[in-house]
Amino acid sequence: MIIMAKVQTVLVVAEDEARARELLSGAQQLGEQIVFYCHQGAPINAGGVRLTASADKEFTELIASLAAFVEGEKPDVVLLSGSQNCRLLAGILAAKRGTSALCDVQTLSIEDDQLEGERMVYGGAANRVERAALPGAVALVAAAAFPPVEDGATPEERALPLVDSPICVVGTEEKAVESVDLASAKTLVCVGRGFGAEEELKLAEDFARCVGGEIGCTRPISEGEGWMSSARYVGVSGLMLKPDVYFGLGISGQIQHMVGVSGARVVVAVNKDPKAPIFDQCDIGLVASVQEALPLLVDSL
Amino acid sequence: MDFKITDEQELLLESLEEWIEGCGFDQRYFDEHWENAQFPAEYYKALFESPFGKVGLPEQYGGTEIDFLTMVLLDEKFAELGRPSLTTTMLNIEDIMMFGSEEQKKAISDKVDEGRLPFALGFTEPQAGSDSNGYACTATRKDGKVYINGHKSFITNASDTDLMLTMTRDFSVEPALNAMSLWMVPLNAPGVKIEPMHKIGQRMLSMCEVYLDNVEVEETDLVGEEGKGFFMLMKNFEIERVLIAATALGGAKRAYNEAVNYANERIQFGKPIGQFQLIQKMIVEMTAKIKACEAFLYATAWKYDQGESLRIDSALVKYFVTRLANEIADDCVQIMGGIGYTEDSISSKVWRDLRTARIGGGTDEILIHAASRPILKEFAKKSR
Amino acid sequence: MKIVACYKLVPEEQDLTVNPDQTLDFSHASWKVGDYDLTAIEMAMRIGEYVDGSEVVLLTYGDDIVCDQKLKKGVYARGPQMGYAVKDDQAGQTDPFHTAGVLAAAIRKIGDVDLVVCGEGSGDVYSQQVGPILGAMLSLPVVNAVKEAMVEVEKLTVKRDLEESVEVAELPLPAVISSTSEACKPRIAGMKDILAAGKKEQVVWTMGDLDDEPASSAKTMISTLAPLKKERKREVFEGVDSMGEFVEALRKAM
Repeated sequence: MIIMAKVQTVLVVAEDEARARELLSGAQQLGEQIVFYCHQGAPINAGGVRLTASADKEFTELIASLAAFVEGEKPDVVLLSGSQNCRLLAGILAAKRGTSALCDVQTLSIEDDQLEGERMVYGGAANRVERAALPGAVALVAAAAFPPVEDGATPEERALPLVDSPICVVGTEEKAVESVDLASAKTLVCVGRGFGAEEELKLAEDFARCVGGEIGCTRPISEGEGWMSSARYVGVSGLMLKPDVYFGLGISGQIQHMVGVSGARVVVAVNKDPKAPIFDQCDIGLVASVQEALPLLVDSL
Repeated sequence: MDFKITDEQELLLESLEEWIEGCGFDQRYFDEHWENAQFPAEYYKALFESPFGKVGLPEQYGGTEIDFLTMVLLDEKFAELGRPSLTTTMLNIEDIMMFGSEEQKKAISDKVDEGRLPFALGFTEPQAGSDSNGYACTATRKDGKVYINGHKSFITNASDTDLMLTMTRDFSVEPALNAMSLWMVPLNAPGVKIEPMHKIGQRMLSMCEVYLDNVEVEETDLVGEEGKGFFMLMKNFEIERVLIAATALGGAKRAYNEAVNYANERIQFGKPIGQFQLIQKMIVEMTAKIKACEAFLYATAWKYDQGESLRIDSALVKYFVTRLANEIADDCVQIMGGIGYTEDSISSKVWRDLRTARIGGGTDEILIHAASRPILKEFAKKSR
Repeated sequence: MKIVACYKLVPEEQDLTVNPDQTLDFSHASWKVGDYDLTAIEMAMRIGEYVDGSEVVLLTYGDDIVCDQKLKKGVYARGPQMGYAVKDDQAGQTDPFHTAGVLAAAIRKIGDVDLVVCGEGSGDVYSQQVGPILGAMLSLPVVNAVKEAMVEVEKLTVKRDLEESVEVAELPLPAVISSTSEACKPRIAGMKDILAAGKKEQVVWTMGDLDDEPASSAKTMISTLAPLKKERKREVFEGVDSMGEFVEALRKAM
């Protein structure tokens, strides 16, 4: 997209490096001066100013400080990644600036002196375009909305001024979560209810290895059956992705999942039900059970 | 006339759907139990603990009292969703609570608290189905104990529970009506032999031959008054007929939902079969039958709640609704075609499950007999 | 302890239809309480049940739908003793900032509120922002992603479901929290709960009844349109016998 206008200052806030890099490239398109805070990961060489905070502070406890920073500096635009804590911060910032954050936006641009963003609503049934007045707009940006920024000149470093946080982190419990970043996957293989038992997922894993893809799933598989972590759940309230090739295996094609991949270049479906809605939304389809088809596919490919 | 069910009734039915959706037992669980003729004990336990388990049991025993129309709506909904309900069990328990001794009430209460079916009804015998004059099971006193001898047949749930409420007859008393007594017989007692029968439908609930060979029980196992067994039995038989009709209608709707959906999706000769008139005729007739059944069923339940007698209507509504429900199931199998003849379809199982509704709880023929005399009598009175 | 549980009435998204001009048609949709709000109400009830003498009250903002008796009974059947509704014809045009403003004004009017529980996000738009904005507007400590919450003397301990871990945090009361969508299963309403629900009081306020006029948001909605379906090739092969052709088509596309 071609941006006609730019704002002066953009603050980028993200918890991890991958998202921070994406937001930074988006910020570069929107504003002249970029200040950013990335809580984890190696220092990124992009933007104008990199904010730092002491390593022993949890991001949660820095929210108050980041909010105070915004109140003081009043950046024209604040871009945040979609993590839970960033959503919390976004709300706090929006309250103070008399606005609502543009949430989970897939695109951002400046139109008529306002920040315009587009996102999905009604469980993926519709696209909503919204604009927030400038200065003082806040946007939560969807994963993979922008390409990651490459390292360039080293930014200036500034310590984030700390203020007291009313929230006190007293502990952390482990969560059985695997580190997986489906947003960067070029080939995505998703599994759904066509798989009747957890052991059958191995067929999908073999297939994914064969095509060089990452595995994702529908909500019933992650939150229903618990066979996969929610980090692999692709859909309207999980990950919204734009892979090059998407395989929907044993997936019926309900909109809540399909909106997560409707931007794919090629959509391939395997399902034993010829009436499955996914066949209406695919480029290539095979009517067969995943149990039968996958071993044969792995052999042929 | 207000033909709308109340907000509260609607909410209750929605709440039931919500519970069934989230109770942790999916269709596969029920299909497997049905196929293997296994009692879904875990489901029943969860049902007992849910807000829907003890509906119809008096509050003092931990139940929720509701009006009969609401009970009918609930039972119908359970069947429409393909899940067993506990309503009839609650009615049977209520009987014990009314007539039983304190120990008996406690024993039943404890089982209910454990989430277990408390007892089976042991009435029917090989020679006493519709003909209650045929009861031959006896209770003989000897040396301070009581010995039960006889052969009960078609006893639902006999192998799913620990006790059987057994009807015995004292041949020294005439007429037979005053000779019947009820005993709470433990099914694990020596002399009890249970043989499951192989039903073609309703397979999750066992149906058994129960042989009682000198089964020793105590005097305290007598339930209620000696000789009043028949009258205790009669207490709820009218509303049980209505509940059987409700469950049959629910089952019919379940099959109907599958079949009409299928008519929209199954393509033959280039179009959905729902576009062909003969299929349309079946669909229209099924729909009209369902509406007629609903109207009659709900009106009958409403009458009960108004305190009116169900003497004739309970027979009429069971006769009418179970026959139409079976017709609906039959049309559903026809619409489903080849699939309708396999166990993969809902309609085929409903078709099998519903067939018993015209037999158990009063056969069609007995109901005709039961209703015709009062009808004719009413007209005879009028013509004088 | 007074706990306010907020909920929003939303159209059943399965009932939405699309007009020829791609706009959405809600006119045939049935309405319901958002699923995530039921979770929030359940969380509020559980917190309340642990603290003697506490009460849970409901709060909603919407148009005439907030007075629909069946919907009211359905949500009050989930346990709260009574509740409030701010009713306004323009509620359909709201956004999180404005909604939070209305809720904040209502909460100030209710008074003596110790804890506000919001759902993860509304069932329709799912911005997941009202809780955080509301907390900031009330100048109260606020956290989201709460999967468990316990009250100890004057403070709230929460477990937050973050991306990589479960974070245990403390915040002083009064506070505002947003629950996660899976935090707890809403209790099933039985006959007694449903019958009692109709008799519970729902105080209805208009915008004029609120002491502060909620500010309007600096964000505006430009359009909400059903997307044009990306035209897909729809080359579908039937059965494992067509495997060969399927693989051919795959190779060409990949």
